[in-house]
This record gives sequence, structure tokens and C-alpha cells, in this order.
Amino acid sequence: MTEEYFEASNVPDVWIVRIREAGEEDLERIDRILSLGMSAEELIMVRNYFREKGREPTDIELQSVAQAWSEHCSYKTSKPVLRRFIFPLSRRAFATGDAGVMEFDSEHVYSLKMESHNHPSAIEPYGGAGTGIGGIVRDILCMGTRPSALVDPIFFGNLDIDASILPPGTKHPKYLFSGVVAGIRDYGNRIGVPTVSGGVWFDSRYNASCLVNAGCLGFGAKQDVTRNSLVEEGDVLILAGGYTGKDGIHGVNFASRILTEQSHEEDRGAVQLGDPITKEPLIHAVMELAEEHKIKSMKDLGGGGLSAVVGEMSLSGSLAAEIDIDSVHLRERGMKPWEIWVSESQERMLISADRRDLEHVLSVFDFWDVPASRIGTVHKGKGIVVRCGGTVILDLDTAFVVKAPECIRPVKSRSVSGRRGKQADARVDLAEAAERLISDINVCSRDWIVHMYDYEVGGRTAVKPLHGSAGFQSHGDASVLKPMPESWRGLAVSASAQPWIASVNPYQGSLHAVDELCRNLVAVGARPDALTNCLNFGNPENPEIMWEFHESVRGLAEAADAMGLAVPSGNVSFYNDREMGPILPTVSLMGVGIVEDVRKSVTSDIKRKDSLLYLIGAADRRLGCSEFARLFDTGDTLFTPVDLKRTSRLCGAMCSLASAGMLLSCHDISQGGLFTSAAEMAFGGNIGIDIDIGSLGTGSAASRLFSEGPTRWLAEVSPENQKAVEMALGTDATPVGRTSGMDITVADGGRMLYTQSLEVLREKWHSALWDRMG
Amino acid sequence: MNRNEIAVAVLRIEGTNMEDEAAAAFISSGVRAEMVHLKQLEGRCTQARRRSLQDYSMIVIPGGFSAGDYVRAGAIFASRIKASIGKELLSFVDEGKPVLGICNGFQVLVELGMLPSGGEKGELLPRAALGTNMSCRYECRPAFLKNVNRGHCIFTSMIPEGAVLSIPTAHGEGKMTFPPSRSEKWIRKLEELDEMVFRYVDDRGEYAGYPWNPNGSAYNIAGVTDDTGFVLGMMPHPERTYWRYLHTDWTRTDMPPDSHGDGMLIIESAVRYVESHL
Repeated sequence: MTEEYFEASNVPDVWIVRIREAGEEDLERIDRILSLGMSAEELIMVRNYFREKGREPTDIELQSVAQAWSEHCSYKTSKPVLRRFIFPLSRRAFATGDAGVMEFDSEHVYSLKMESHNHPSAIEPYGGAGTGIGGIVRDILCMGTRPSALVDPIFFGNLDIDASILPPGTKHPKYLFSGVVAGIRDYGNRIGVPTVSGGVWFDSRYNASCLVNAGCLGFGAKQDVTRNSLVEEGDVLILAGGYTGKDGIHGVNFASRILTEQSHEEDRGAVQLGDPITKEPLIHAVMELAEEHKIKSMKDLGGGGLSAVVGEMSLSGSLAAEIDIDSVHLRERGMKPWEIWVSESQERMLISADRRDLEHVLSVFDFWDVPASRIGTVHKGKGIVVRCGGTVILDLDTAFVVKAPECIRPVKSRSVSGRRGKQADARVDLAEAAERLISDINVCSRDWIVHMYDYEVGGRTAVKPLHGSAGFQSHGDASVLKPMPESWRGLAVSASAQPWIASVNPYQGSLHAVDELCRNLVAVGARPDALTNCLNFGNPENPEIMWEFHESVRGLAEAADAMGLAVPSGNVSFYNDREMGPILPTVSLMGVGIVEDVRKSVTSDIKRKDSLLYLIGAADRRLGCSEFARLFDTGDTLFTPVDLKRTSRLCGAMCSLASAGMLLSCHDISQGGLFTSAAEMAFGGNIGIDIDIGSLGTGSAASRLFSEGPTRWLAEVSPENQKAVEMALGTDATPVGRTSGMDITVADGGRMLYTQSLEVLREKWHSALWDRMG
Repeated sequence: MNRNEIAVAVLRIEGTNMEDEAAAAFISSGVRAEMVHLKQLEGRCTQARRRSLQDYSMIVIPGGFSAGDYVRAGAIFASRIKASIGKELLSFVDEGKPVLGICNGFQVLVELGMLPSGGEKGELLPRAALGTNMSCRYECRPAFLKNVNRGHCIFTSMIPEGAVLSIPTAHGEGKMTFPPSRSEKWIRKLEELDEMVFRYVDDRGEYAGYPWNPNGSAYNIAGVTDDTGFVLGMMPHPERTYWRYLHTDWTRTDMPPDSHGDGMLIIESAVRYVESHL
């Protein structure tokens, strides 16, 4: 170490850093040498803090502040925006913390949270995705709720891209995609939590930055819900779970900046290593203790490691903590105290417990073969003290460390008006368009992925992600879980994202994403109840990106509020930005709906021949931002905006119809339009469909078939319920065909436009991903 | 034995993760089911947690990834059993008490050498393997099984011979594999001795290849029993279709969602056996 700044302390591997006299340049050098990742202003604030304290800091103290002040831990950029729009929407939550907790019935709760794991996955997709799952599962666990289902929205670049076009050091989208899916598979399947929903999106704007968002749904009893803050003076702090090692050092700093060509070499150490077979017994042990009420509070160790978790528990509990760093159980020798303090090694939880319960808590972990050590004590006061060999090596005020200075970043707006682009819809060959769309990478069957995930472990998945006749299952809109053996009440789970609309108009992009989420939930008969989110954006220091973020959040809050959805938790990921430009602004959502009676769930597969098909919602002819527009490269970005009042009214009506048993099957209309929805319904039931778009007004057939206008469903209704459905929906229901035979046909007012056998079309839809991925 | 006196042990170690649905299915049938960690049978725990195989009338080894299955699936769990309660487990079966291995549990029974037996029973050494799926993929998907047992296996007493059940699979290593030179002989022997129980068929009840035979198993074998008929190992998960609402097509059949599913027949057969014989 450079002698002018560093001086050995009395403790081996702990250095005193001379910053009080340091000028700006010196501060920057110190920042670089210690890899702190702090800004010039932040470094000055730290220097001034120690000037006031009248002493120099240790390296572990500086590391601790740097962790806490990273964008990843502090949300310093996003918090001012979230506080204004999103935070008020948690008021209906039963509890908030590492995950949002919502009421399920008078005695039970469910919890939900989603988190991004984008940066690690771009470097090491298999491990990055696995630890993404691992982290989100701990968030659910530390609320005292049992992890019950996983939801994984993932976003990749163009699978067919020539690798030589990619910026140096970037991994090929195909490699990332298969690695991420394998990571989710091996971690999720091994810990025994079913992966029931998610989504995959492909666009060249994710070429250099893939997104891996991992969501988890938990379930538990109200009386077992646990806090995340320190509770009482004299309590003991127990670190349980995996051994602490040198992996994931500076993970949060690395997640708070742009990846570079060198990241793949230099940042490898910032990627954490997951271990599902430590996690699985950890879940058992923690749930056993939570149900015995032997845990007063707990929090998982994620970004920032011990440093972050001790700080946050101390701040929210307004109590002090004293930690003995020598008590931490280590995976390897030779770890420096600061490395132990910030390591992001996986599968760890910090638990506060009554001193009298210490032996019992340790014995439960011992039974489950989970390492656990008492590493500290809770005191009165508002500080954090760390000792090494009895000597104090860190002594900081909690409020200073944890409360990072917020950044109000400049915003620069763009025009949000769409443009018509080339109009291809009147010229294209309908058969060619239909079949290219159904086998498009963003539309085609996801069964290559879904079958690799155990979607029904636990025996609670009543409506599966692929539902229908065995061998013919097709895409549903949401999965339904039946969490309690003795009750028919269920939870529907779904995911959504509308990055293309958001790239034109981020505010409308959020409205469309919420609209789609609600469509998905009501399609199975659920009442939308809460959502959680990952807000993935480029570099917020770019004012246009900051504007995208601001507008997306404003839209999300407005839409959630209008739909009566609580937003009890959320997550932000910035700096998904590289040489090839920023990612599409990506608001990825996970939504949960309440199903009053699981037995009344509606699925997307066509149930029988000779039933009627209705388009619910408005006829739409706009093709802006649609799959069709991308496929034919029209540049058309004129889309129909969401009318939230209408969304709310129609979702209510659909929910009532579903619970009245009026819908034989139902599917929302989204990517690929009416045609795709109809085809997917036919595939799942192995029953043909005759569509007639004559009832949908004038305009090209392609525009009526492939428009992705919001707030629309396709529903199968038996002839005996025709009157009731038409009465209930009035002009919102338009007849668009019947079910019959083994073909999919399209006519316009009786004039036949397209005929294809179900089997041929299914093969095109089914094989597209298999052909690419093998 | 009265049904409510029957105690079933659902055996687990770290990474066993399908004990919930296995226990739930047995509880639904009216018996007591307890999740028991192998440590509790070995005595590596506090006195309060100590259990003995003698406390139970049936053992279920459920699915999951015991010890991570980072080596051959089931091998670590099997070797731990062998090293501690192996002999007790054999006498448990000798007493006529049923043992059910589902998925990872079947892999454990094969690694233990308890299945298949084919007249070669004796030492606890594996005689066959559940190899990596032909697709080289872990897959979770619905499957159809034909009951080919002629009455030797106690787990199929309620299922007519030739009947087809819908019971899903979820595994990466389920391909029933015999020593190549003796594969034909093994299959003939299992048929002769009535130790073959379930074979994969397609949606019309015909023997078929992938994906209906999800792993490429020899002779479409999905489940086998031993010379006693008290032990059943199967890759598919009967507990996952104990109820109709767990079937993948329940929203399109006339059977009420709250009625029993196909998997119930296997569990109920075993429970009835214990009820009348123990």
C-alpha cells in the first residue's frame, strides 16, 4: 500500500487511512486504491465526518461507508422519485421490509419481492442467475414467510447475432440465455421452490446487457411475520448459513456502475457463489425457529454483506450493534477484516434473538447441519462497533453510514409522440405474416424453458404455466397456487413487461405493463391484489435515462393506484448501459391476485367444439410497437394508449364472469395479437378455431389480427351462456368466431383468408426455440 | 391396524425437497405422516428428536436432490442409509412393511440395491442404474403410466391390470438402465417374476418414445417392485396427482376438481394393505 496514505494499525491487516488532510486528488487516489467507487462529493463528506470525529478512519470503516452509499444499497438516485410516487402505495401492506407482506385471509399472509441480478449474470450467467434466486428466497424467508413460488422475467439480446459485432468482453446472448435458464433450473429445483411464472424477451438492445429479474412469492401465518430491525438491548446476533469467503467482494459497487471490457476478468471476484444445498436446510431451520417465535428479527445478507445488514438493522431498530469479527465462520484462511465485513458470500442470515434462546437457536441450526455463530450483541445507542482480537476497528454512527446522501439527478425529456412508419399491413401475405409471427422468438412456445423448471414441487400448483391436455399444454396467463390444504382460496401469479412501448413513451409503457399484468390475473379468474417490480434502466447520470426512470415510475404508480394494486416492495437496477447503448427502459412486474375458489380457475386451452369466441375489449387496428411492426421492420410506433378507467372496469367485469363460470377458456391478447391468442388457445385444447374478423370493423386484416392494443382478451363461451355474456359486457364483447375441427382458419365477413392445420401451426410455434437452442 | 394409527415416515436429508407433498398425500388418506430426518433415526440429534424405524408402518423416500445429487442421483443418501440404518431397513421390509421410493427415492432404492431384485436380492449393491435422461435435460412434464403388474405389488391392488394413470414426472436421471449385455434378460426376469409395475405410454395408452417416455427408460419402465412386493420405486410422482385439481388437464375434464386424482390409487392401495395386514 502507498505509504503516504496508509499506516499500519495495531491489528494485522487493518490500516489507518490518512484522509483528514487529503485534497481532492488524494481522495480520488485513495478511492481507487481501495476500490470504493465513491464520488468526489461523497469522499469530501467522509473526510469531513472524520475531521469532526478528530481521528483518521480505518480501511474497514471506509469500505463500510462505500458499501452503504453505493447505488445498489442506498437507492440514492431512485429514492426521491420512489418516495414521491411509489412508497404511498404500500399503505395496504400487512408489513414491509425485505419483502412486502399482504393479507391472504384473516390468519394468513403472502409475501412478494423481485430483485434484479443483471450485472453478475452478464459475467457468469449460471452462477449469477442461481444466486439471484438464492437472494430473493432469503428476502421472503426473513419476513417469516415460506418461499412458495418463483417468477423469473429474463431479457436477452438477439440470439442469432454475429458474435464479432458484440463489444469486446461481452458474452453471446445465446450463451447467456442458456446459462441463465440452467442457473434458475438448478438452483430453483434443488431448493424445492416451484418456478411457476416469468417471461423471456429478446431484443438487440439487450445484446450487451442482459437482465435477470428473480421474483419470489412467500406464504405464512400472520403471527409468524418477522421484523427486519433490531428489537431489544441485550439480544444476541447470530450469523447462520453458509461460510463467509472471498466471493462477492465489492458486488454492490460493481452493480452500481457500467460494465466494461475488463469486467469479465476484473470483476469475477464480485460475483457470488450460490449453494442450494446449504439454502434448503437453512429454509427449514429458519422456518422452524420463526414458527417457534425464537427469532426476534432477521435479515438476509445480500449486497454489502454484514456491513449492510448490521447497519440497516441497527438504523431501523434505533439500536446499536457490537460485532466480534473473529466469530464469523469462514470458508478460507487469510481473509482481512474488511473482506469479512463486506463479503457477499451466499446463503447467510443475521438473526437477533433473546439471549436466553441462544442455545436453542444454535441447536436447531446444528440439527439441520447449518453452521451458525453468535457474532454480536445489541446495545442501546445508535452506532456500530466492530472488534477484531478485542480491539475496536470500526466505530461509526449508524445514521452516517446507512443514510447515504440522496442525488437529485438532472432530467431531460424526449418527444413521446409515435410515428406511423411504413405501413406494411395492407401489403403482406397474411399466411406468411401469421406463420412468421407464431414462430417469432418473442411469441413462440416457451416449453423448451418451462419443462426444465419444476413448476409443481410442493404439490400446490393448481394451474400450471403450461396447462391443458397432457402433451398439448399451451401458454397460460397466470399460474394458480393453492397454498393451504384446508382452504380453496388461492393465489394467482404472473409477470409482465412492455419495454418496446416504454422505449417510445415510458409513462405509457408502465401503464401497458400494469394493464397486461391485470389482464393476465383476471384471465384465470383472480382479483389483482398487489405487484412488485424490478425497474431496469441505463445510466442514470444520463438525463434522458433519468427522465425514462421518472416517467416509468410515475406511470407505474398511477396505474397501480387506479387498479387498486398495492406496491409493498420493489427494486431498481441502473447502469445497464454499455458501448452499444442503454437497454430498453424495462419495468418488469410480478403481480399477485386472489382467487376466491381455486376450483373455478379459468385456463387458456379451448375446452370443446362448437363454442363461441368473443373478443373482449375494443377492436384495435394500431400496430405500433407490436411484434408485427418489429418483424416487418415498419418503424411504426403509434400504439393505443391505456385508459385506466376502462382497464379497471373491464377487469372487474371479467373477474365476475370468470367466477360465475361463464368462461370456458380465456387468454389475454398481447404479443402477436388476436391471432396468436387464438392459436395458443387452440394448441392447448387440441381443438381448431374459425376466426372471423368481419365484426372488428374495417382496415387491413393484418391490423385487426395482429394489433396488440391494451385491455383485451379472447374468451370461449358455450352457446347456452351467449346471452348472459352479451348482457354483461354489452359492446365490450364482439363475436369473432367459433371452435371446431382441427384447423385454424381466418375469414373476413365470410371470405376465407387463411387456413392451416392445427398440427402444422403448432409445430412452427413449438419448434422455434428448440431449433435455436437444441 | 386402524387407519388413524398408521404412522408413515417420510424420510429426508438435506436437499430432499418433496417431503411436503408426499406427507400431504398420506395425511389426506387418513394416516399420520411424519417427516423424519435420517439423523433422527441414526441418533445424531437431541433425545427429543430421536426416532426409530419401529415407530412406523411404512416408509416413504420422497423426491428431491438429496445432498445436491452432485454425483449419481441418490448415491449419497443411499450410502448414508447403508452406513447407518441399512440392516434395519431390510428387516423392516422383511416384516412386511411397505417402502415407497418416489423419484429421488427410487434412485436411492436402486443405489441401495433394494430395487430391482429380479431374484438376485441379497447384498446392498446396485444392480441397475437410473441414468441421465436420453434428452440430457431435467424435465418436469405430465406422463401416462400403464399398470402392468399382475398382482404381486401391494401398491397397485386398487388399480386394474392394464389401466392407464396420469402421473407427472420431474427428473434429470430416470432412464432405467441394466448392464447392456443382460438388459433383455433383466426385462424378461422382471416380467416373469411380476416385478415390473409401471410402464410409460402415450395419451392413447400405447407404448411410445420421447416425450411420452420422458427419459428413454429401457422397455419404458417407470416403476418396479422387489421379490416381496412391499417395495415400490417409481420415477413419476403419485403424490402430485393425489387430487384431481393437480392434474394438468383438470379444467377440461368432467371430474370434479375436489375429487381424487389418479395418484391416490397407489397411496390408497398401500394404506389399505397396512390396514388389513399389519
